Amino acid sequence: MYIHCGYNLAMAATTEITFRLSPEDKELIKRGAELEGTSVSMFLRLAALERMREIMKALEPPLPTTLPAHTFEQLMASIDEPDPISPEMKERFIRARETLGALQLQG
Amino acid sequence: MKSPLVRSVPFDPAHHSAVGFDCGNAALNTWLTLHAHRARQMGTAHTFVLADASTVLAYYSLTATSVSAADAPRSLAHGSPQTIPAWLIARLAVDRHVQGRGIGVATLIDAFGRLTIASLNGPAARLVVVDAIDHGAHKFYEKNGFRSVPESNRLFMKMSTTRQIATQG
Repeated sequence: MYIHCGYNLAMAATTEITFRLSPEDKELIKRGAELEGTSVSMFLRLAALERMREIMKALEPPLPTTLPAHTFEQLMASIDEPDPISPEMKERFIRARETLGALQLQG
Repeated sequence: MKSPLVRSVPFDPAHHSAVGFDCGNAALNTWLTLHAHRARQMGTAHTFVLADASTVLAYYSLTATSVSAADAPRSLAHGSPQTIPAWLIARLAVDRHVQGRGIGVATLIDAFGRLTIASLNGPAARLVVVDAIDHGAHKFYEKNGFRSVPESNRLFMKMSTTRQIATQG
């Protein structure tokens, strides 16, 4: 089975992509286009562009973090002093280190 | 990196099977399956796994970030920086099959160890920031010493605290 679709949504569609797929997938795509009331070509183009946006978003560098000025100032005043660790946390971290050490890892 | 503080290894899709990984969150599964390797190639994030042979038990991804004051703090007049470098634990996930065994905290400890070593021998960072993907993750990080960033899904910890946790005991 072949599907043809135009290439550029925003500009004039002057080129095409052709790809093979199973009859089952083709029927699913046609059904999806029907449900959205659009053509198979437009359905695939929009789906591919949406997928590309998702990929770009996932790979973007993170946005910086902003703290309230007073919080930032307090933080900077004690930046080299570790925060207190409660006995419960300390115990949890000791157990976690034991868990980490005991993991059977061969990767 | 060989160190008693760190047992994770860099994620390698040629060696580690990401397809079977299921932490219960589709976005975190998809990251490992589709994006982690590409992010390393692009230099936007490095992903590390705790793996038994090819099976990924848990993973986290690290990247550099910064933390700034919302407005110029009073101490600016004294020459303190307005923006400081930080590490970001952008994602941390444990496979469903091994959840409930303390591997989440163990993975966090592994990340702390890796960041401690990196800060000693690499770029300086004063804070560790985490992105909590949901309420449960937020509670997890709070329980383990992180402080919430107001009106955000992020939390932070001083690198000095991270270093102490990684090296204590």
